[in-house]
Amino acid sequence: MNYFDLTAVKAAEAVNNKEISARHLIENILEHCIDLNKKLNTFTYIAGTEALEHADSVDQKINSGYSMPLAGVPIAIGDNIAYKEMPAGLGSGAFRDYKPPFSAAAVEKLIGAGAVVIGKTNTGDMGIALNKALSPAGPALNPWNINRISESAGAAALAVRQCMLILESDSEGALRQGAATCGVFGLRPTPGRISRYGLNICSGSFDQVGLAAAAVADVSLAFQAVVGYDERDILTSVSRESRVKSEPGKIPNEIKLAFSPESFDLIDPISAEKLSQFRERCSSHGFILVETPLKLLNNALKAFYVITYAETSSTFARFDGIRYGRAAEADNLEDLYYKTRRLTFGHEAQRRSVFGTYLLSKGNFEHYYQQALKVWSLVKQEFAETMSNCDFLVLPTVKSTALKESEDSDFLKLLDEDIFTAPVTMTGLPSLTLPAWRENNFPAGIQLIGHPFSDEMLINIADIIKAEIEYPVPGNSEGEAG
Amino acid sequence: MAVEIKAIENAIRVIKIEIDPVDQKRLHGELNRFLDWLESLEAVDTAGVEPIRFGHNVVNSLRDDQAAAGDLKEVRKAAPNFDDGFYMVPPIIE
Repeated sequence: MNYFDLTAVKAAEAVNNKEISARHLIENILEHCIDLNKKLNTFTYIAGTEALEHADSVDQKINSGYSMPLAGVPIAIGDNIAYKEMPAGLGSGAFRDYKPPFSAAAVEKLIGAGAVVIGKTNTGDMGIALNKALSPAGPALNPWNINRISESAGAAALAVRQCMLILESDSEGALRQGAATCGVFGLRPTPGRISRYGLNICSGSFDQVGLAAAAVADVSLAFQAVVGYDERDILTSVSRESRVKSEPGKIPNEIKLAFSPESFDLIDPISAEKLSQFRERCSSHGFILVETPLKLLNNALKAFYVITYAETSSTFARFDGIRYGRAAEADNLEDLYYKTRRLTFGHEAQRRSVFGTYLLSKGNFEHYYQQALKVWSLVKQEFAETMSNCDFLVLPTVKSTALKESEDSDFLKLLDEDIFTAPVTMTGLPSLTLPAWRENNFPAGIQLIGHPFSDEMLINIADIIKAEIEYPVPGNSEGEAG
Repeated sequence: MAVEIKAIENAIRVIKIEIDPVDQKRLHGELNRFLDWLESLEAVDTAGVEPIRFGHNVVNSLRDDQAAAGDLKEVRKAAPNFDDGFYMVPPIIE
């Protein structure tokens, strides 16, 4: 059996049916993972005996007659999400020795469903998106082109089957963008569907735990395992079920897909042509297409960054060497604060702290922050109007395929890359990125955006579209590291 | 109008972070570029628009206020310095 062709669904089936043991599966995946990590740098920690012991306990349960939905499935977790068996480095040198005394709620649920954690994926400085904030471990690379940085290390790992599922955070859109440029499926759920307990928060309004996998059926399986109320996160929804009761028909001609003309103008010409072809294919398969204006995307992005910088500067204040983090050597209290934060924050975290503090200062608070909150209100209204006319909104995920190295140093250009993902984050709508076409042989994805609490429907419709339209194969041998 | 480097120095003093002069200069240049980038946001007509605080409508779901047993051994492992049931931290009153 070739383990690297297995989806999570097939792997769990094989383990439950005792066609393979969880230990054998994990041993093979770990070997593959270690080998590819030398080239891609997707993991900051790869498990050893602890994962094998856990796989053994899964095998014991199977042999005792239990069946588990994710039996033996190898999963990876972002390094800013807690798992008590492994370090949580938060992308900061100050946390390299930190091992949390608890696990994130979503991690607990996946393990309870039989999954085996094989490691922690590389995250940017303090958990900020990897392409914007280098971690002490350096960049994770896109396996389709190793000269390019992957926005999400986990998505890159999935593309070459270093694991079968990942849990990573998504704020401005790193998980969705990484999924798009690595050719896998990435879900940012409706806020409240997955507990954020155990996630190191930068921006309280926007950070969310998301999921990704190489197959949409795997996203569905994992989502079912992690969704639901958690008493340790007061913002999780009490209801485990989708709040949207009416299921769309399974036939495309009952489903309205909205496209925004502005999105064609905001992406590069090759991507615009591909998006146009994608829209035509959706039409020829019978989907009802509607056009919807989204005039505020540009200013939504700017409002997002004012708010996220402001919130981040506030939440990062807790890293003072007393309550959180490693204290620096210092002669007095004032010195302790200054030196601890220098030790803790890299360039991007410094920038967010300083800019956020400036934006919240007297005079600027009204001028920038309050204005951003008002624009946020307008953005929500605009998207609500759009969603009232369709079942799903289709937007690109990235402006073009993975960033070129030469573009990686310009921070404003990097912010601009989030023009389709950050505004969706502000709306609280669920968004699933799925592979849609290739550009110069690199995968490119689109976002399907659903109504609030319609996450299950979103996954279903992605499955229908997937069946209708040709996709690149993630991890295909054409990927340089594949 | 470009902001002066004093804006960076003030923010650094408020958040208490050590940043060397070369990086302060870099941040000063970046802040001015960032503020230029925000120009179109400032121009959005928001008259009569109420600012919002949350992007979603989830209402706080509170758990019962009951004490639960914790595992001090586990907590201790995560603390840099732990003694007699207490976290030992640097003095904060001088």
